[in-house]
Amino acid sequence: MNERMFTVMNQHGLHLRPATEFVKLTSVFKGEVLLVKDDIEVNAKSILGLLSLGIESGARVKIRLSGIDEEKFFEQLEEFFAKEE
Amino acid sequence: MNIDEHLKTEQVIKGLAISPGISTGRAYVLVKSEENNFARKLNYEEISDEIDRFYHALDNAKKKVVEMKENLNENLDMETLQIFDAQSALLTDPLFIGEIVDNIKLKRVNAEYSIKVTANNWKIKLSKIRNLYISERANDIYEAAHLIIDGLAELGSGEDFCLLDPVIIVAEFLTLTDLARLDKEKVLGFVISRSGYTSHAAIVARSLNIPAVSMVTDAHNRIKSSDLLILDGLRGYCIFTPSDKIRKIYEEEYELFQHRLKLLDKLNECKPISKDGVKIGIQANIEIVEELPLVKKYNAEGIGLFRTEFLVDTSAAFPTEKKQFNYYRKVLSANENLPVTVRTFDVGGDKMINEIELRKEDNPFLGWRAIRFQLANESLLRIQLKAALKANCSGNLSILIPMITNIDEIKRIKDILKDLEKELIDAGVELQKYRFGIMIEIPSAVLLADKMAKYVDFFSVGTNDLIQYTLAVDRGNEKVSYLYSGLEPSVLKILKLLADNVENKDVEVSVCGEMASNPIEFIVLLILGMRIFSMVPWKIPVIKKLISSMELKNIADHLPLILELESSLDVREYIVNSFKDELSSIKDFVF
Repeated sequence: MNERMFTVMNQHGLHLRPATEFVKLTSVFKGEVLLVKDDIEVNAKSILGLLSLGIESGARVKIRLSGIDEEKFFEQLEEFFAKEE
Repeated sequence: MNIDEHLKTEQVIKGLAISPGISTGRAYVLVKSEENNFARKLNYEEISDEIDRFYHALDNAKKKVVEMKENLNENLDMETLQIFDAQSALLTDPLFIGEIVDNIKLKRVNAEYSIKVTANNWKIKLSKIRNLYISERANDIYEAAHLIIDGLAELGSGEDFCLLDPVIIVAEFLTLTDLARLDKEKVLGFVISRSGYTSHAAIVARSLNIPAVSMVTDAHNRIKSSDLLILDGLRGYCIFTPSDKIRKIYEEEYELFQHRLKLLDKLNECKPISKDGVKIGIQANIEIVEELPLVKKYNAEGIGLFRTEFLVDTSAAFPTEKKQFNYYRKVLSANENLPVTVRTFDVGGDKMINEIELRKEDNPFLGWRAIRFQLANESLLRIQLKAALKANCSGNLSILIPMITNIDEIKRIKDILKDLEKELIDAGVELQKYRFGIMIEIPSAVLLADKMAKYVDFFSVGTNDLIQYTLAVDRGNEKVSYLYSGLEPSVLKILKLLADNVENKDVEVSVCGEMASNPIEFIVLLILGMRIFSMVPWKIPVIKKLISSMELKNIADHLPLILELESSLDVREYIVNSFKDELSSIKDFVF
């Protein structure tokens, strides 16, 4: 398992639209994707799990991956979290 | 020998005639499966089937979302299309699906209930989040949940509603959902165990010209499917396994009634213009989309009252903006030249969000309902108003607010509308003009009508409630309903006060209550100066005929005279005597 920290740059946080995008991304990943914020861990393939964390703009989140091509997927995530809208 | 004599040797149940007409046919007893909104405890053996049923419905829901998105692709902006993606994401959400399945397994409840509970928990969780971008979307969960529940309904009772041959539907009661699901072409009539004259079933039956008899005690248990029945919606009879003799008699009755209907069509050719050339505005009240053809058939000049409660009654949760938008759009775009008055939800708080346990009110008619509820839950009002404004693509929308008590309420709603307009314009929506009006149905609104007039474009007088609140009489209560009458001198006085209060004010006044379609009461309203009316479509021909037989230029001369009368019976007698010829022109059609 690999983990990495990210900063959410979206100006309104991880709300419905970006969360939908995010889930589209994570559901392609072959393996488990977990997102941790303030010690709460959720299945990052669940849009409800993500929304329930109420992730604001500027929040720091940790992603844990265990699956295939983890490094490549981290790069994709990097790109996703950097988007401001 | 009249019909009653012949019936002495037949098996008859006398009920309440709620929709006129005659029909003979085989019974189809509608056995209602478990009410979708309620929990049903499963047996252990049922659990795996129920889970299969859920997954099946889930698949259908997913397909439906993709289909909807594809169908709308060309007409929608990116933002709306992304809503579909969000729906898809919800329908594939492992947590959401997992919890629903767990609930079915562990709590041993039906899928519908499990979905509702799960969706509700998530909705509450999300609505507590401080990020508005998230909490405001909590309702989207409901939309997704509903797609699955709709899917279950289609699976569960699909065959129940697939009628091959024309039948007489027998049921304990019928909800709007049931009515919406029935293929009305194949329905010869309704026999209902309970449901009054003003129930949804009755309204729908009358507007679609389907005979119906209600209050037939225990009908759904006493009648078996494929029993032969004669239904007499004129007299309220339901005749079981009729003899050949009575069948023959009813064949003649049927012909007679059809003949009357033809005459009614002939009346429909009348123009709503009096003998001396005064034009009267006649509009239609409608409740469901299926009534749209009737609006056209009877040449109504608009929809004076489009009730929206259907949306609430047929949903387990508050209808989403999208659902409302689609519904309003259907009616508003049916005829772009036809004004459509969309009335915001006129139901109690208990119906609005039935997922929240509400205290049962001791006095619901004086309680938390209609606009009072929606102002307390402003986000729900905003959703409805926004859906209506967005659906108004040709500028034929009027927004009508029920249960207005004071001026503060009007101001608040206008502020909300202003706010929404700005929001929509900022979002790039091209807004069309619309009119804004309120229902006059609480006496306080009559008293303040002169002041309220400057805030609104129109008043719509809801006579049913205005009478009820003026007389403090619940007409559904048989012990006091004798006090209820639109001809009560006090009712005439309050309507006169309204007319005085709006004199010389720049505000349109119309009447949408039942007084508008009752010939005698209609004449009283004309005397009081009312000139625009909205009524159930099928009453329009009779009222048009009545208008065309009247002279209206000096009709106000009667006003001082009827205001002097001391009882409703005196008023009735006065009208009947003074308008003998006019009323006799329609006497065959008052049923």
